[in-house]
This record gives sequence, C-alpha cells and structure tokens, in this order.
Amino acid sequence: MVTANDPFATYKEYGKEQGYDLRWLERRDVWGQQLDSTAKKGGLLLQDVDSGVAAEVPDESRNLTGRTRGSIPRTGVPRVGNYSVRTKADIWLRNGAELYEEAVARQWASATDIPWHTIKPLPDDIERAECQLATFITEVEFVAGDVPGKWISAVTPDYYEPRMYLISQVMDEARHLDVFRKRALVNGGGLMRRTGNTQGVVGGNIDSARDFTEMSARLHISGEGSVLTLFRMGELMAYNDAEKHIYRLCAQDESRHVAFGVMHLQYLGSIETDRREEIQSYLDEAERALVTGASGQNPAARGLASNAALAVLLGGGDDKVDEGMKTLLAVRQRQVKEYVQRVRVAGFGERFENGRANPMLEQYLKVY
Amino acid sequence: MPVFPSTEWLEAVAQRAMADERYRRYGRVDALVGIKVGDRQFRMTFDVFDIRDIREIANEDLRDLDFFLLMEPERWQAMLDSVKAEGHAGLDYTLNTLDLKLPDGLAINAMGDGYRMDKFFRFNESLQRFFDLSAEVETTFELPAPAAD
Repeated sequence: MVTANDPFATYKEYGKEQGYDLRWLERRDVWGQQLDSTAKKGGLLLQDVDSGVAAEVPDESRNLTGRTRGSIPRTGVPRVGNYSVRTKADIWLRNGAELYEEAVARQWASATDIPWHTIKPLPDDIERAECQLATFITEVEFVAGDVPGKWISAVTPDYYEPRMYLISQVMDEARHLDVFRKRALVNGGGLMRRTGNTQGVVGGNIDSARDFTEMSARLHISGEGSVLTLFRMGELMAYNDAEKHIYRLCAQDESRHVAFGVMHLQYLGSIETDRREEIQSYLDEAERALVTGASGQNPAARGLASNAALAVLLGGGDDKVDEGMKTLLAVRQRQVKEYVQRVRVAGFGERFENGRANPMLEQYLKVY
Repeated sequence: MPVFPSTEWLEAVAQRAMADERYRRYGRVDALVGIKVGDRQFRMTFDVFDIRDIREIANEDLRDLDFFLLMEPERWQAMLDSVKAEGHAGLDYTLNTLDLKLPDGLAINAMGDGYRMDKFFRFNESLQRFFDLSAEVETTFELPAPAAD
C-alpha cells in the first residue's frame, strides 16, 4: 500500500500502473549510508567507499559486458570484453586499492620536479656513460609500460582495483621513459646504442607470458626488482642533484610496482596452493635471468653496454672501470639479496632452504 | 633549542614538514616510522600530510612500526650536521645512501616484514624531505642517548 508520505513508492506504483519498467529506481543496499568524507584527512579513498554489494569481489567473474562491479545487471547487453582474467586468484592482491591511491597521490612531473639546471657539462667519458645508461633504461621502461598495458583490457571490471593499478603503472613507466630520454638529451650527449642481441631483446620473454602471474613474476619480481636496486644505487653514481632526484623518484615508483608483484604472489600462493609449483617454476626462470642477465632487463648484467656504462659511472671515469666493477658487483649482490627477501615475503622462501633456488644466488651472496 | 633525540626535536621538524609545500608536493604518506638513537626510541605516525603521535617508546614497541631507522649516535649527528651544513643531506648522508652503505641497512622492520619495510622506499623522498627540514631547527645534541627514566 502506498502512503502519501513516500513519494518513491508513489512513483513506482504510478509507473507500474502505466506499464513502465522502473526497476532501475530500486534503492541499493547502501542507500542512505552517507560517508563522512571529511573524517579522513587523506580524502575519500576507494577502500573507504566500497561497501555492500560493491565490495563483493567474486572468486570467478562471468562479467563479459563491462558492467561496473556492484551495479545492477541487465539483460540483453552485448559482450564487449573478451576478458581472459576472470578468476580472482589470477590477479588479486589484498591492497590493490591502497597501492592505486598511493600511485595517484605520489605522481610527479619530470618537467618541473627535477632540478635540470643542476646538470652542468661533464667529462666526455662520464657523459657518454650517462647517456648509454639512460638509453638502456628508456628502452626497458618502454617495455615495462607495454607489457602490463597488454593485460589491462584482459581483466574483468569485477577486479577493477588491480586493473586500475596497472593503468597507474603504465603512467609511471611512461614518466620514467620520458625522464631518462630527457637525461640522455639534455646535456648535449644524445641517445646511444640500443640493446638487443642474439639472445633476445629487452623484454622479449616477458612479452610471451601466457598467464598474468607468469608475467608479473617476470616483470614485477625479477625485472622491476633489479631495476629498483639499480635506481636505489643511483645516488652513488649521480653527478648532480638532478640525477639524484631522478633516481630517488623513480625508485619510489618502482617499489610500488615490486610491492604489487609481491602481494599478488602472496595472495595467489595462499589461495591456490595447487599452483605453488607453477609459481616456483616462474621463480626458477626469474633466478636464471637474475644471475645470467638472460632477460635483458637488468642493466647490471654482464655483457651489456649498460653494464660497462655503470662501471664507468660508479668508478668515476674510463680509467677507473676496475673500481667501478667492484661497486657494480656489490650492486649485483644487493639485487640478489633483495630478490631473496621479496620471495620470502611472497611466501615462497622454502626454495632457499630445500635446494630449489639457483645455486649461483648463494655464490653471489658468498663471493661478493 | 631542541635536543636531539627528543620528542620536542621531532615535533619541531614535523611542524616544518607539515607546513612545507615541497613535502606536500611529494604526496600522501601512510607509515608508522621510528628512530632509534642509542638506547632511546621514538615513533611518529605519518598520516597523509599530518605527522602526529610523536612519542618516546620502549624498545619492544618498535615491532608495531612499519620500520625504524637505526644508526650509531655519532652517525645520526654526522647526518644532521651534514643537513645543517648544506641545507639538505649530502650525498653520503641521504637516507637511501646510508641504507645502502650500512652493513645491516638503515631501515629495519622488527618483525622481518619486508612488505612493511618497503614503505621506506615507497615514501623515501618525503622522508628525506622531513630530515632535510631539520636544517631549519637549531639543534643541540645529547649523545649517546641513554634510556629515559
């Protein structure tokens, strides 16, 4: 029965009588639950607003129509997305929304946040090495944007948090690409020799991943982990404030990317225990790449032009390459140490106790 | 004149950070951060752009933090002296460089939680700016720092 003081019910009744479908006017489960957006100093975050049905993340998604999670489905909508990632465990992590919000809040601009004026003419050998390294990193970051980019449209909108996080990562990588391109060109040096050899170009094997977790293990844990260590060491080979800022700001972004990969592996490994062996095999491959440089993503790997450039920068010139090589070995050792720590956090540390881990990892830790 | 280490000193730096445009430009920070100087420990809550709940804590309370910064008292003073002299940390005294060069690192999570520890890297530029702003604080040192009564 419609009461005079309930206009919503009155409209519904009227619509029904007139033959209109007014189901879209149904009140949702959160109707009337206004959030206090002033209560939190950090503003309104995704993790704050999702409640009720909007917060229900299905273990498996049959959403192929682009329907926003939590909205009311309707019939007759064509399938617009051929989403291959429709199982929660395949992409989920517990803090996807938090990492996305952090990424958005901590964006920076290479044009204005880098004190470019502090870059002064450098000795030729140093400038050439800077430009060679910048060229390599530009190439790596191009791949680091392309690879997650390919997966974004493959993820069902029901898992929008990791999907949006990947979008933010692509933006980060674009910024890294632009800042290192600027570094190569700002001081009269120029872009140097590209990478790529008979064993494969940068990113070649990441691109061929058949599964999101396979890609994430290669990109986030192995590749970005190595690059993060390098960015952190960047301060040791910076010749001015501009370069220090570049490395520090890039390292911040990179550590978010690594955190995504670690937390995803942690989630998947705890939910789908029957996939642990599969993940271990990804880590086998990641370790081979780490110790041999086979992935082409690690600028510190032996045999790459970027490796020699790093030795020049870390040593302080062409004539101090041997000294630079010693520091570079310390970089490699730290890459291995940090990799081991991340794999432990991800919940796969048993490989370091049961003999599964690549024996060369231990050699690195012992020798250097 | 604030004494390092003390809650007063940390509050003086925090006040400057919260009012600093560049600190805010680096974006929100969400981390429970500690410092350990000699036998004394302090914690701070970095809550978006606020830095609050600054207080001295017991050694065992360090386990509640995302990470804490640990150096010998003399190195703390050398870092802050470098900041004072140059207006910002010199190359050998940035948080990142110290973390790389110290045998056990600078930032530590007491429970070995690498994910929480990673916040040191994720918010590094903001934390660096925080300590760089100590250049504006007239500091006296009481080192080494014995445990408070």
